Amino acid sequence: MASKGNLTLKSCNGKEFIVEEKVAVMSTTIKNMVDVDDSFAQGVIPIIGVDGKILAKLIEYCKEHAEADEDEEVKSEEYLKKFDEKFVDELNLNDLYDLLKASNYLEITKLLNLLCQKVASMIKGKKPEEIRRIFNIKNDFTPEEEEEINRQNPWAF
Amino acid sequence: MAKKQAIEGKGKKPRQTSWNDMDADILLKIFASLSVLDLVIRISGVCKSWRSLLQEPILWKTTLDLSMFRNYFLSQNLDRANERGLYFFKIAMNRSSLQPKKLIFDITPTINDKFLIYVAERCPNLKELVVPSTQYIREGAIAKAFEFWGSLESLFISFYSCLPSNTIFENIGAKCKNLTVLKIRSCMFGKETAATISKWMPGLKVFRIRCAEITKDTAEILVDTMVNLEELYLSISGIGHESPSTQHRFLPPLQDESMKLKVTRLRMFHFCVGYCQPCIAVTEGYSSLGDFYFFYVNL
Repeated sequence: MASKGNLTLKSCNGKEFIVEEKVAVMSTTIKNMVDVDDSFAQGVIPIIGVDGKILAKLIEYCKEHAEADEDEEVKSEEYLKKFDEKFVDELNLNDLYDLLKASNYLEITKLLNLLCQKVASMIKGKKPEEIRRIFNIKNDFTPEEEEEINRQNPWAF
Repeated sequence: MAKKQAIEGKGKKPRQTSWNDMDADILLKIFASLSVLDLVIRISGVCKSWRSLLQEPILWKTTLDLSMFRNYFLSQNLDRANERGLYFFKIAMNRSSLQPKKLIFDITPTINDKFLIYVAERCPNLKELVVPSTQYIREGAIAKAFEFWGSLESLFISFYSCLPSNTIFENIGAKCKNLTVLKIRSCMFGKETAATISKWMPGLKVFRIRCAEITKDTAEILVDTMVNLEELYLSISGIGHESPSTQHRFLPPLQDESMKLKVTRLRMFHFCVGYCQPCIAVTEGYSSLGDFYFFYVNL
């Protein structure tokens, strides 16, 4: 049971995390849950579809940012920028995928934006086949469609 | 950390995430920060689900700025640059739900008749248009293109060394009844052109002209006959164009009492003789795109 000012978040594989409320409500979804129903604030909040590893990552991110929001002098913008960079650089492809889905579901807008920017930077300027390789994407075009696409692309000139 | 991962992964096969079916709203958020070029020729070739998302209107801003692709389409061979640019534009239009309200038509300096007319047909709802390159476009093609652009409210058009014939302004003015902002760059700008613009574009509220020189008579026509005019910007490059009629050279209006009186009815009057930063950028040719962009945004 979380003490006052703290919330307990439970991952889909049963791991519980006790976090400060200000950290948890970085997620708009959690904030709405707590706002409309007091029992969530005292009990355990189930985080559906998010496993312990990803939830730990989310909490790590929210903790840094919640503290920075509270006291700008302790954590400067520059510090946060470096933290964000390191945070996304250390993610493998599966983590990136799961975190994107989780931050979207939990509406952690800042993190979602950060992750989207990261994926966009991995796409920019790359050819379709490179993008498929990076993201493990199955090429599901028929040979005819593929031929049509290649024929249409301006770099074919 | 590595140890923890190993424990968690125990007994499971390494999972392969499938980005083909990543949630559409997340993909759209990612795609939104990509350029039109990335979307059109890269995302479209990745997989079916990614390709189909290109039809989402949310990805397409109402401004289409083609200037960022200039380096991509530049070529020594003029026809080839045009062909590439037109091809790109066609593909972009076909693969997306692009319906721009503002078009910065600065994809290649060699825009030709065919290209201009195709774009006009496909973007009939434009409100703002920027065409910095017209030296390879014939007047007939300009007239034809503007038949599609009746809803245009703001136009920047640049004529390089050639003198735009008055018919061009007559044609544009006859089609674009809602035009309130006109920005022109032209080497020459004389009395007759001023009179044509005044006659055929009576709704103009903002008029900006950058030209080699302008006589006092011409400026007077603009101020006297354009009844709805609120803002007038005259920017004279003048450099290197010694006029034989030097005695008629236009003086800065604030040194000219009669002109000073006339321009007081305007909400804004700006006069500059070729030495301010944006003017220099234009006079020296646009070595970098940034300068030129600055010019047509700010002039």
